[in-house]
Amino acid sequence: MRTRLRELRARDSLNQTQLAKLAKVSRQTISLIEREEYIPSLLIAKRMAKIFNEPIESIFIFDEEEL
Amino acid sequence: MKFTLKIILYGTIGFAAGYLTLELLYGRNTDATLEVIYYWLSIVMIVLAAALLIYAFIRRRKLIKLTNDKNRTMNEDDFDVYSYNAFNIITVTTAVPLVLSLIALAIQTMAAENPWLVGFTIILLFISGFMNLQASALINIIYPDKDLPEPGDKKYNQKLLAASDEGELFIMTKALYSSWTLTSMLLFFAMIMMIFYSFVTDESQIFSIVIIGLIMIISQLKYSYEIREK
Repeated sequence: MRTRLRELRARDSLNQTQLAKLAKVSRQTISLIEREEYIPSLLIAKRMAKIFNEPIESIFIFDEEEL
Repeated sequence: MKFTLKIILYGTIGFAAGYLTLELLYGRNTDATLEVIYYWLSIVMIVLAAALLIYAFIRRRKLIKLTNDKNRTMNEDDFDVYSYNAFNIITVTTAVPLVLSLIALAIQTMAAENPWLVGFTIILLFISGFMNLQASALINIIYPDKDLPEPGDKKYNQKLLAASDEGELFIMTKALYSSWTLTSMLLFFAMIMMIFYSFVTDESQIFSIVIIGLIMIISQLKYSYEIREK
């Protein structure tokens, strides 16, 4: 899975701590997702979509083989 | 740097193990030699434990000062990474002296029997225990917004897990699993070493071997019990 989280965060001038507070998670979780070491739950993905006003599939991009 | 430290550590352990084995096999006065080795081993442990506690104390003070500093120049993300890593270091540098001072106390009371050192080691043990508790309490200072349990809480572990989000749980699971695997492997090697030691020195280590074996079995059973399908 690839993620556009870092790019979207930069677009909205948010640091990891600020995004973590908005998404009600820890900064470590944001960092893990950005490093593409962890696939977030649907709940966190939905919160991200709401924060950035983007569909989930444009934030978290899966390869065809992964689906 | 890490590689160099590893080489030095392995080299020291290897040298100590080799020297001890040779002394035990070919030494003229085995008991006296062992006493000297144990004495100096306990001194090294006491010095190391004291140095680590001083380091932990300094790091703790620095971290608290920085946490309470409203005018710090570090940005939020960098500060979170810094405090997270500092907390980890403080936890390690207070946990290790607890073990070191306990081993040193065992050596001092059973082999070396120096009353001054026994007294000093007991004090060191208490300080280590106290600083260990203080290190656990540090997490509440670093993350005041989180609903974290107090160190003395009876359900501390459950509450800490409940207060952690999925990313933190993922990190902890990975770390605990690799730590559990390493511990099992090291305990197994410790058993083999003790069997070897018993044969070479004619000093039976059966009690320790049985205890380690029981710990390994209980640990495996507990893990299997926790992951079973309910």
